[in-house]
Amino acid sequence: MIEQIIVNGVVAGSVYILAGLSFGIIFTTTGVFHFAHAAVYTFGGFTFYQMAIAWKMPFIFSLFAGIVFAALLGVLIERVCYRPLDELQATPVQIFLTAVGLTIVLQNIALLIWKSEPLVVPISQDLLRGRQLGNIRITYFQIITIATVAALWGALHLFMGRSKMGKAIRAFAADPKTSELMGMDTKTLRLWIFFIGSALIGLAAALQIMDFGMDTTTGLSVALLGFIATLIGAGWGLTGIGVISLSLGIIENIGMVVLSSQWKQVILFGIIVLLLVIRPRGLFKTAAR
Amino acid sequence: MEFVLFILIIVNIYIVLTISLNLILGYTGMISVCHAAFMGIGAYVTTILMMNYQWSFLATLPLVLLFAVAISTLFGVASLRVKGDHYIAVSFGIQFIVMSLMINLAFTGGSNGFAGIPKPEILGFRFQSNFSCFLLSLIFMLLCLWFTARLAKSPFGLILKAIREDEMAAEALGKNIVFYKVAVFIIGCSLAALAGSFFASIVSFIDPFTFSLEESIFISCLVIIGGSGNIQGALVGVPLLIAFPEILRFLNIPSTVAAPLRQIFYGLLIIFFMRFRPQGILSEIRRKP
Repeated sequence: MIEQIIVNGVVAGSVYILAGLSFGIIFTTTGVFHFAHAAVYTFGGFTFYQMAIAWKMPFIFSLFAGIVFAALLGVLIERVCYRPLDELQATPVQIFLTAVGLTIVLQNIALLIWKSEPLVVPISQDLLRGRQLGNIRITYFQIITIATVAALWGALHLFMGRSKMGKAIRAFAADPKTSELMGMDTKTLRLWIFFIGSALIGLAAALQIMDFGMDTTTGLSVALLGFIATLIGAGWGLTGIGVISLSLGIIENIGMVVLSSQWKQVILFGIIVLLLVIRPRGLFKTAAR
Repeated sequence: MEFVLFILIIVNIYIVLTISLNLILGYTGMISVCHAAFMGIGAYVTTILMMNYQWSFLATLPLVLLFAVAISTLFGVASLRVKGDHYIAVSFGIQFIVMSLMINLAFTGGSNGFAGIPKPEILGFRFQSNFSCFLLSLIFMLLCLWFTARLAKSPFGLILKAIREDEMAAEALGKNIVFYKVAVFIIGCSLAALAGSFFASIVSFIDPFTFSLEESIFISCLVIIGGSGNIQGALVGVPLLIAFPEILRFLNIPSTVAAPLRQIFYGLLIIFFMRFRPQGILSEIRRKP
């Protein structure tokens, strides 16, 4: 029983990892409270749905189109909305409220196009067949989900640690002014950061819409989860954020069995408030951004 | 005429909500997305006491204040003593936890809420007609306006602005920043709770969705567009933005389209104001140094 709950938690947690990493990479580097991440998520998932189901295009092609669309939307938002504010040296309140306004606009456009019912992209029955391993039952799709997320997490770790752009991003996060003085093209770099983050959340949306389905409100809780994982785990960088996201998935699943699913939000936010009361500086000692 | 009076009552209550959030968001520069939750706390405490325990309206108000102060102190102290963005997460937390409790608890009427809440009765006089209710809400609004204006002009209000402009400088002058932040959070949230009590009793119908995250964001929108950091802004912004959707009502647009369109309009307004006129319609009067 308990093994099964943990497995379910890991599956839910792997989508959360994508949410946490994607929000984290944007927030810890640019400092933008990218609330509109929620809308990017919605559009990524629904574009996938629109192409695969409504327009009957090839499945894999639609999947990639959804992810690319999300990534481009993120880049567009940075270019049109956040960059001008950054140049004006806007206050955090201004940036946050702009992001909120954007979210309202985009979510309601999505609502006008796709209505409020949850949408699902059905996947082949073979992938949904279960496999019994001792006490636990796990579908092939869930295995694919976990494997994909694990691979991406590793790849992102390598990218940030080894590649030239990864190093540039870390330098930019540490000190934007100095990096610019050293001749880095920080504006383009910011676009790339939004590209990576938005592609990751697009993938999260695609996984969600294939498994459970989603509606226009799903994005909000996913983006908030990413924000919270970032706040708690940022002291340890992206690794910390990923670990926290995964734990939140597992804890949420255990909590839902002990209580019931209607208390999902209370459990999640209760944990966060409690954590902030007990360990105000984040779970890991070093100061978060 | 009755309809116009009803709109005016709503405007009065929203002016109180707006100026109280303005203390937190406009004067101190703290992002808070749980204002509707506190309004809901006030509304529910008043309603439950009046309907289930036959308390009189006035007698419920001290208890409402007690609740609001207790909850805002608890969360405020926990989140505001740390530097950084934790309090944003906690305010999301309050909003979601309060709303979940309203929907799921046994004695809060579930998602149907309460209907037929008794009209307020003060010293034997029952505010039955819309006109008397309007007068009551007007008096309440003017009292809150007077209180907030006094507060804003006082040394207390000036320190709040100092914190917004330069937190470190205010701290260097020996001001206890955490105390002021927590204090203004408590004051703002308590006023919102009182507004909720009046709202519940005068409108005599509440449900959890009246106090959602969208509503909190809408109140922030009112603060920003009217003018942050001053009192008069609310008097201009609230009537404009409350009256606008009522005009839409007379155009023949189906409500499934009209509601998202209204939201998109608000969202665009926020984005444009933040970009081109962050101080709002009426800007704060700044004394020359």
